[in-house]
Amino acid sequence: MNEILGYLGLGLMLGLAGIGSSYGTTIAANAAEGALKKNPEKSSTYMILSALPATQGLYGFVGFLLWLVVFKPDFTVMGPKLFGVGLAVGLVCLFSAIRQGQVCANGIVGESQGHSVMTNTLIYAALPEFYAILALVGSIMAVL
Amino acid sequence: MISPMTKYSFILLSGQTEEFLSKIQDLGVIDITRSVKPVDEKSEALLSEADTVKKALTVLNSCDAEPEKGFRFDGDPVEAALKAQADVEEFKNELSSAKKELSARKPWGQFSTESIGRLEAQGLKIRFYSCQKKKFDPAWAEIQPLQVVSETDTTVFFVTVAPVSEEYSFPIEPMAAPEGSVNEMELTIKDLETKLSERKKLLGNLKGCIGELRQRYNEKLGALDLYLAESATEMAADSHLAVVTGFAPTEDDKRLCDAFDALGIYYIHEPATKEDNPPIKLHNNWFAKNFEVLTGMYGMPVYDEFDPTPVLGPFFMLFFAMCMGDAGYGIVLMLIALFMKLKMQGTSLGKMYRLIGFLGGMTFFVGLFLGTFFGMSILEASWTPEWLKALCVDGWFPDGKIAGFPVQMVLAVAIGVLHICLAMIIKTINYTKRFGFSKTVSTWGWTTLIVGGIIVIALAMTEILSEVTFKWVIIALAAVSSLAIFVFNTPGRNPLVNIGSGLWDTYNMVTGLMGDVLSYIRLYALGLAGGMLGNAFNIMGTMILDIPVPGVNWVFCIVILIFGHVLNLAMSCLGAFVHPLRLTFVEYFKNSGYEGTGLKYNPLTKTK
Repeated sequence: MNEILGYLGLGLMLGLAGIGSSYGTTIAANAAEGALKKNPEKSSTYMILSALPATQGLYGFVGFLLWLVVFKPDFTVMGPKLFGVGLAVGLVCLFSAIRQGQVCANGIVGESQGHSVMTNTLIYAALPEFYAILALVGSIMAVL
Repeated sequence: MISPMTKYSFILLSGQTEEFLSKIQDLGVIDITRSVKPVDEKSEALLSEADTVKKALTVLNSCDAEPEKGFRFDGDPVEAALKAQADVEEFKNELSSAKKELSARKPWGQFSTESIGRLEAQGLKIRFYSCQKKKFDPAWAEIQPLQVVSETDTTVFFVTVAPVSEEYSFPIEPMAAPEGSVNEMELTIKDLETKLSERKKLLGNLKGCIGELRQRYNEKLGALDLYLAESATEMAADSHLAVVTGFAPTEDDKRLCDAFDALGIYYIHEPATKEDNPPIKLHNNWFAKNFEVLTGMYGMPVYDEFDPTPVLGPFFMLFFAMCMGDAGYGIVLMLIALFMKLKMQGTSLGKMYRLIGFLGGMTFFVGLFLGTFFGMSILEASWTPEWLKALCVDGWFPDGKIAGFPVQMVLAVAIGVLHICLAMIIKTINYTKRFGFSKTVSTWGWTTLIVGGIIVIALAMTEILSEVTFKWVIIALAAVSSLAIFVFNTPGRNPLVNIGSGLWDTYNMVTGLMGDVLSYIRLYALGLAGGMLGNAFNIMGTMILDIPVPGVNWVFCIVILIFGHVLNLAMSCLGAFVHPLRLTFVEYFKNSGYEGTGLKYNPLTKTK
């Protein structure tokens, strides 16, 4: 049972983070599609902002890799702990990426309307990402 | 580097403004502060005219047909091109509808709509029916006179004839009568195809006017620019005088002054200051020049700020290479750069061949260092020579780990620490230059503590500093920095308020720095993901070789490898471009205090 819980946690960490990034990047990219029709000259700005929510999926992947390949915690002993931490990391990355995508989408809309908001959008978008970073740190500390 | 600018102020009679600005346009180096967007109806109209020409150019450039020799067009090529394109779209739509109508009419064969009209005039109505073959009942012929026109495998098409005056009923509902015969529709289609072909031929012939249209487009933009510059002039003395302000690179001073003296106008020229907010022209060496486009994406520096391009360039290259993490992909990028140089010289994408070449070269060397070649591990491959394996960083440490963490992850974070330390040093120097030491005491404190602390720790870890020395140096650093951060951060202010402000700064710094440093883990993650995906395609390719059909297995293997690595290269390039840019724009620019709110140098010129 412990082993099952442990692997569930591992999978949730990877899966939820990836789902979050998928949602986040899609939200931003949909805004970019609309913005391209209005103001196609700023396509590089839209691309950068659309790609920002991809980070959380990377963090989930890094955590997954560290558990599976580097630290190799004992799943039979640490199963419940790994489940809890993995679930927490996955959920944090999920919501962080979705919300970051919404921030980026608003930034893209603002840019398409002629307002120079890219710099501030990058900063605001980094705020929810900080918690995904904290979650990654937590996943590393849990297996040290 | 930011090119020094000279500010020019001209005073002239209001009636001379347009002529003067036209001469400024001829010189082509003075940036008259003006709006980049239309400011009134006239400028909107000018922009609209330029857009119309641009649309015509787009239409002609996308046309496949070639112009006939000796073709001359006397009318307006813009109007003709746009009308022809609109006609092409219309005819294509009509053709599509006509073809659908033709397939709807085909079951009814050839008939004359006039004959049907004559029958109706004589009081006989023809109704058209179609129904599924299995539902068709031949006994219906007893209800109404019925004639089967045609049948397919599934459907029966038939008509009934009945006097209009009589009450009519039939087991199924009739369908809408075809508006004409097959023959008529085929003639319509042929006519449409002929017209479509003629329009396409015209568009092909109009391609000969592309050069003329490009010139016209440039003239329109130049006229718009001139108008916007004229709109930006300040009027004085009851609108009798016009005051025009502009900026030009200081290196052009002599040439400009000679030109203005020859014109006989009154002007003042002085070095631009940061208060003037002059436009920014970057001036970098042959290497950093390629990265100015990235600086432009974020924003130009203000006049007294530093140009981030010389630092951005090497680090962006390094981050790109780490995210790609494959020597084989580096070779491919260099080949792409070579192709762009030889075959795409004139295009805007082709001009970036040097940038792609640098990125490819760096990717190749970093890929060797990280030990990956087209998804294969250089360390584990049997065919790699020992000297090549010695280059791979994973082989330098036991198990490829430092303190239990993968070497490449530690490397990514260490590079992040270096990048941020560099940013803090640049911020300290730049802020001191711009605002003076008394306003940057806190910045000095943080930089001394963090950068100094890291250097001292590194020296202690490499045993250059003894334990005792390390202890005392750290204490001294902490003491000096604490005074700067908590007590003297704003000289002259209440020390208690300074302490409070210092505590708030500490919270922001601790949370911000930790997040910023960990953000560099993406360099490791992206490189690893790309390498693993490449390896996965290699495994798929080798599995295909197990097919016991000699020749065929190799063909499939090669197809999978090429397809897989091209896909991986494209995805890796996208990630490797965007994430390093994000690290630069967010982590680096934030820690270096870069504002990026400068205006780009945009001189008034005739051609754009």
